[in-house]
Amino acid sequence: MSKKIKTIKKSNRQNTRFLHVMMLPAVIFTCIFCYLPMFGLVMAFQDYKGFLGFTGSKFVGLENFIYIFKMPGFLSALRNTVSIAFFKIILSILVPLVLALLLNEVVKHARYKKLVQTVIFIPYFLSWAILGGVIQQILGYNGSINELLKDLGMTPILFLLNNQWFRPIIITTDVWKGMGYNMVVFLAAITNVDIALYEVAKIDGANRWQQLLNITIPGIRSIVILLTILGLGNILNAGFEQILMLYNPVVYSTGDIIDTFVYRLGIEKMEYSYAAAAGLFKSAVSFVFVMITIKLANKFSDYRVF
Amino acid sequence: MIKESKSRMAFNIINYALLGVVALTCILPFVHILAVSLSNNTDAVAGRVSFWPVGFTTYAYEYVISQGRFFSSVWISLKRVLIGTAINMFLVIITAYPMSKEEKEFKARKWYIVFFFITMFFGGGLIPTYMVINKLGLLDSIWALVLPGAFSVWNMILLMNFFRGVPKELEEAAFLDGAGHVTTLFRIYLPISLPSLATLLLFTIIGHWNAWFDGILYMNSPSRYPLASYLSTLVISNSNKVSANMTMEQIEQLSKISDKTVSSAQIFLAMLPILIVYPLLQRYFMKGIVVGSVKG
Amino acid sequence: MRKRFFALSMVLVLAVSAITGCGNDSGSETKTSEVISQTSDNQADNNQTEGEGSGSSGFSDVAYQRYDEEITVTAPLLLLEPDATVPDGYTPETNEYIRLFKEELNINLEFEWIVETEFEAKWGVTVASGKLPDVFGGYSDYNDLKEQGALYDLSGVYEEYASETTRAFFDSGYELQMKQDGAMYSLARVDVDTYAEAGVMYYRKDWLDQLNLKVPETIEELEAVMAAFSEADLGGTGGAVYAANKGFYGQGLADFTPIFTAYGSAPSYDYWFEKDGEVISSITQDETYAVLETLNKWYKNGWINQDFASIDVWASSSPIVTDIVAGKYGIVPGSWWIPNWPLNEQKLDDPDAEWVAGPALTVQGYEAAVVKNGDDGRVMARSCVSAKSEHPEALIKMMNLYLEALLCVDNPTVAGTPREGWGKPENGFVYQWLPFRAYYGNTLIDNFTLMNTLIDEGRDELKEDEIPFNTEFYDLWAKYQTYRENPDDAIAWGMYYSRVDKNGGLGTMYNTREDLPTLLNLVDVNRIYRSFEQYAGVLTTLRDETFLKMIMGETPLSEWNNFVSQWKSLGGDAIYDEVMEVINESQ
Repeated sequence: MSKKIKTIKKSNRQNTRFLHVMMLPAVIFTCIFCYLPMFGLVMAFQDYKGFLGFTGSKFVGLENFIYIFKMPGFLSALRNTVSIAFFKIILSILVPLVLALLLNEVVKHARYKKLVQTVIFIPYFLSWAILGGVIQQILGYNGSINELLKDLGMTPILFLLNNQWFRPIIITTDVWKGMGYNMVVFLAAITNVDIALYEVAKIDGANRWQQLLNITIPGIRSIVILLTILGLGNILNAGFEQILMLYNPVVYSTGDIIDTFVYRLGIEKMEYSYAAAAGLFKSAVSFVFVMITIKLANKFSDYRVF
Repeated sequence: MIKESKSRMAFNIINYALLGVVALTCILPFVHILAVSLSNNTDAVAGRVSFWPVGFTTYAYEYVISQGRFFSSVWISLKRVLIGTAINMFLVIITAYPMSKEEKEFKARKWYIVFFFITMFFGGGLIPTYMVINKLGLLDSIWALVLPGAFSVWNMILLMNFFRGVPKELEEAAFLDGAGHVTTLFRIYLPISLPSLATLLLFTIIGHWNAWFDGILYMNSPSRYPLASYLSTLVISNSNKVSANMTMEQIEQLSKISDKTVSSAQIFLAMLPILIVYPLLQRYFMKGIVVGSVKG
Repeated sequence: MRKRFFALSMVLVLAVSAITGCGNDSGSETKTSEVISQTSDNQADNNQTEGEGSGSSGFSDVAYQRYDEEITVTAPLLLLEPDATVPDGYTPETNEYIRLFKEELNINLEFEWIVETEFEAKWGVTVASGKLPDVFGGYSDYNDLKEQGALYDLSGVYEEYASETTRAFFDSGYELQMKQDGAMYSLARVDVDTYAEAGVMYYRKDWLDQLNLKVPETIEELEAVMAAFSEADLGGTGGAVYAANKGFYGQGLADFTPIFTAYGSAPSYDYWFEKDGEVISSITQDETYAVLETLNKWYKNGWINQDFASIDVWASSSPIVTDIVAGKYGIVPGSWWIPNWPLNEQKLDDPDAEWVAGPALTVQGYEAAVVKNGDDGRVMARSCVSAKSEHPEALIKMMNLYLEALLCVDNPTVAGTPREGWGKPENGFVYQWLPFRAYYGNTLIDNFTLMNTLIDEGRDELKEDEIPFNTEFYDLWAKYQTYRENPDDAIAWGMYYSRVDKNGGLGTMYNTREDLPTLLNLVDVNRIYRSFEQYAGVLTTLRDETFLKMIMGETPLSEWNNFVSQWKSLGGDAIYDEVMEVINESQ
């Protein structure tokens, strides 16, 4: 008996060291490809000129940031960014979650379930360059939706030119495009819930609805929280490519986001410094925001996020 | 088995219908692209194709198949996916395992978390990353496509969470039987986590298959592009090149915009592999994989 | 066809960008014919001195002197489509020009990288990596590179190594750059044509006929046509007849440029005119307001497609292009090449459709004008050499040889010599795959003039002194034959109508320049204005948002004065100050 304890004790020490060994490859990769390039962050504080490089470009301190912040339209872009991103984050958790739960309730017709699962994933693969055109066709003045409205005797709506409609359209179409992704994660999480729990519940007389509420949802709670918190890291990423495809000057007031705003600032020439400054600003804000959220989550729930 | 109640049946009908509607909205753009690819080009350019081919012709596919570039880029993408996915999965697995341990077992865990977490928000950007890749001599090789994104913190965090859901008792049992970390990982954790592994496998494959910008940036010639990069060159936006100075060759470029059926065919063919792989992986999302027994 | 023409010599030139000349021809025509006689003299000499000198072709001039040791010259490449006559299987590396450079000059031209898209991104990281290729073009960072000393001053090697032909093309660029910078940092050509785009209106002739209307010549007549078209709704749009997109000015297709021209406006932050002794911005001038007022009226009448402000004509699968091709619009504004695309696509789809270009529009109470950017000419299409390059003269030498090769195409004096097949795309000489170009600025006008001369005189053969200096001509001639035999051939029509017809695309553009007075832009296009860099972004945003909303009626036109003062305070005044500074400097 004592021999076994001794062996266990010895392997305990080896255990931890070995764990570090297992971490090593990822650490090396991260150092080389993530931390090493971070020297480029200095670009945000320079008047970066390609040929002069990082060492030769003039250091301008916070000038780039001030330039961007002072530009008329920046605050509006910031507001739009947060507003759009916030709804996108929430809905891109809720919608796939509901879909995953609903799919989980398809018990009998496995083929139908498989088909729907696959099909929901399709929009994820279509780039905004393609989808943008499709959406413009559908929402155009003579597009399908307006045809329907006209048939119903209503006046056509210029959706993409309307400041009431633009944001909802951006949010909805982006959630629609990406819902397959999180849905898969939730499906996997649902599958991970121990069957035995369901068996026990059934014996206790719980119906499917109660099973859903009391077993499935708590069972995947950690993943949902995790995805939400990680999703909050995108609080300033409102969807550059999508908005660039779909926006126009008439909806700048609700649809212009930080990225498109900065893009237009630097478009006259290859202006990297502004993009770098905006990027750093976004990273810093998102980081702080998520850190705060994690601290709060850790405090108020018994669940440790990490 | 509990008999299906009426309300259950009603729920099922609504559920199926709802899912059906959602699925329909998702498949329609796809059907549209397919229809365009099988249509006569002039009708396609004039916008007459909705969900059914107009002037049915397989010309677009015949043309694509005759193009060397399409297939050579598919081959490059396949190589990238194979090598990249293998490396990614390996790194994710061997990293998620230690990270899933409790603090008391693995004290340094907290620091690793911070170390990785920061990289999810801060990055050097395009130019410094390019410079690093350049200095490492990886330019114009498959490694430039595979190595930079080889470790995904996001995936690692996901898997780490799934690993934490593995019942502690299983691990302790194995431990008492003398199993080391590697054995525990491969004999206990992985088999139980098949759904999550399938998820990550899917995401990794899709990530490598779809990535296009790095192909253009790191490869020195279009002949070495993976498929997604090649496809990106077909979807042209021309505003920079347009001016009063149009030479004949520029008009040629412009009228390539009108090669709608061919670019649709290529888009469709590019989506096809994923649509085949995904259903194959789906069975891992089916319930019912219980490994061993905890009791006793 | 080509054998029918008795070509003494020809220079093949095409450009990445070029503007044609009009009215400035006589000078350069003489010069090029001098070039021809000189080079043919050279060739006669060279044929006699075969064997002397270093290359197999017998060049003895230092301009063509071969390097003793093979040198490598690196360059980036933007891959463009080769001529259709280039046989399959050629790659940028097996381009016959590459082989030629190697054999004749011992220069190994290597491509650092090749892209089809995302050139700027790729170039950006290349520059950032610190290692510039030896030879490259002038991109948006040209001025930065110049200021940072990254570019080689080519004046010395140009003077020493440039051949006669090379000088014929690049001397004007040499002179202008020496004047501006005291050095020549790029091998560049000066475009004497500095006209801004005035826009051409294209109308569905069969619709006009059907409704008994004639082609409008004034804005008022245009409005009558639009009303009639809208009523008849021959395109099935429900009333919209004027194809427009959110890029409302200077887009080349589906914009309001012809209307702005009719009122004498050119609303961009870099257009400043003199009116009544004052320097004013084209954006804030009264004429621009008048245009917006008119457009707002048209929009309210439903004549402009109601969602135009959300459509980008240059996006892929742009709805407006689709609709134009589908024949929904009877009034399509654009540049001279519109018949060549997308109108030819529309005609392909509907062979009964007929298109006609209308004359420049005028309007009561305003003076229509074509804007011109100064008389200094504009430096275009640069080729640069890295300051660290070991062999800066390599670019000049390659250019010399390249032009020589072009002179060999269809040139009977080289028949039977090793140079016989040089330069021909059919033999694998792909000029689109070279990192530098030589462009002959008068291609469009020359072909236009020549084709019309032949047609008017009913001739099918060129005279000896009529040889055109570009291969575009032969393609054009071939398409014209097709068109003559079958006027319904949409593709042939498109080429013919845009480039040849006296009242077609080019024809109308030239007529417009003759008929309308010229408005001189006081901005010096060869100069960098700091205020442009600083304020262009925000001013363009303001302009776009305001103008589009005013046209749509979302912002009342009465807000105009507010717009003007906002525009001024956000940067307009700063630009004005700098523009005045430059003007006063040069006086």
